[in-house]
Amino acid sequence: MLRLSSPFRPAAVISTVIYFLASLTAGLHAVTLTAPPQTTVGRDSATIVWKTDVECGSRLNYGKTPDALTQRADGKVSAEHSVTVANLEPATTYHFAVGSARQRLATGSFTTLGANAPVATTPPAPPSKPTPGFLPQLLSKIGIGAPAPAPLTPKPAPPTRVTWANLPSLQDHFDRHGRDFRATSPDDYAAKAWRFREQARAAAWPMKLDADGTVRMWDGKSGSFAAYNRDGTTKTYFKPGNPSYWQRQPGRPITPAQLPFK
Amino acid sequence: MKSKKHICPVCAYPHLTEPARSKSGGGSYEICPSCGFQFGVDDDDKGITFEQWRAKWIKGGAKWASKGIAKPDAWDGAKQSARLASHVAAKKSPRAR
Repeated sequence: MLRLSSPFRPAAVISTVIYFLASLTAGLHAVTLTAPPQTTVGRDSATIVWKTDVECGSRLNYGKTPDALTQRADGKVSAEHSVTVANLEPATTYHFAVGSARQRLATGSFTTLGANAPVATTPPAPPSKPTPGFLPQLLSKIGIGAPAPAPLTPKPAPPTRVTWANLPSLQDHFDRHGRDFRATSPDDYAAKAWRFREQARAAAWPMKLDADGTVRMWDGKSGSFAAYNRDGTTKTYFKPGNPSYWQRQPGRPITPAQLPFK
Repeated sequence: MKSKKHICPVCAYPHLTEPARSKSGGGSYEICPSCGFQFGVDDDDKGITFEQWRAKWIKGGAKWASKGIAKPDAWDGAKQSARLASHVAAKKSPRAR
């Protein structure tokens, strides 16, 4: 029976809140490890399996020393990954890293079977993932703070045919990324992308100008990214899952005054 | 203005509106209507290689991916995918200088 007369226990409440908040942050990054790599070894082969929360590419880098994972094997796009490597040397320890082409998620090692060699599988090391913007993302997730910031200049967006670069492609961009911003329709998604551009300009969020005229904009608080053509029309708008995505985007940093469009 | 078309490096669809990558290396963010790969997102963000996506697309029947762009009448995913080998080989061959 539920006892309502239990004494108030601050520590328990705090633990519960932390657990609740932590669970809410699950899925903020597009690719996280949900099951660590497991190895099945033979005399000259090994199969490594692991799981991620979303579908992504499968890549295994391996080698005989942890700092020289020079060999590579790719697997299918999946959330349940399996990569088999062959032509290994018997009774030899190999070190490996699993992930995708862009991101390493975990490392480990295994020893192939040999006449006198015991099988030795080292538990995988947990990924040392940075959590940039953890608190802001957390607060935005639970509705505190400003995730999808309120417009600084709340003027209505122009018609989609004016703001979106390639109209026939809009449906596909909405289908893929609309949920990132709780967009209710392709037009709503296009309008949000235009508002993002205006907010970035007003708040001087990070932006880069590429040699081909592409303007890339980034809001680190909400983890939102958008790209626009030289004339200001939208190319795409989404929330990358990879924390280093913005840093890897080309272009020279500019200020709002240097934007190629009005 | 002349409208130059570009070939998808994943599925060989010949009518992309932009090169998949600019000279600086940035993705076009275009979603290939044929195979559905988004350049600069599926690769740069999700870490999926062209080869991985291509294998998945072919395994899935090489179907038209776009819901917003109508499939051309003459489009045949199987025939297009059959041209992939020569296209990929051409892309890998060293450029004449």
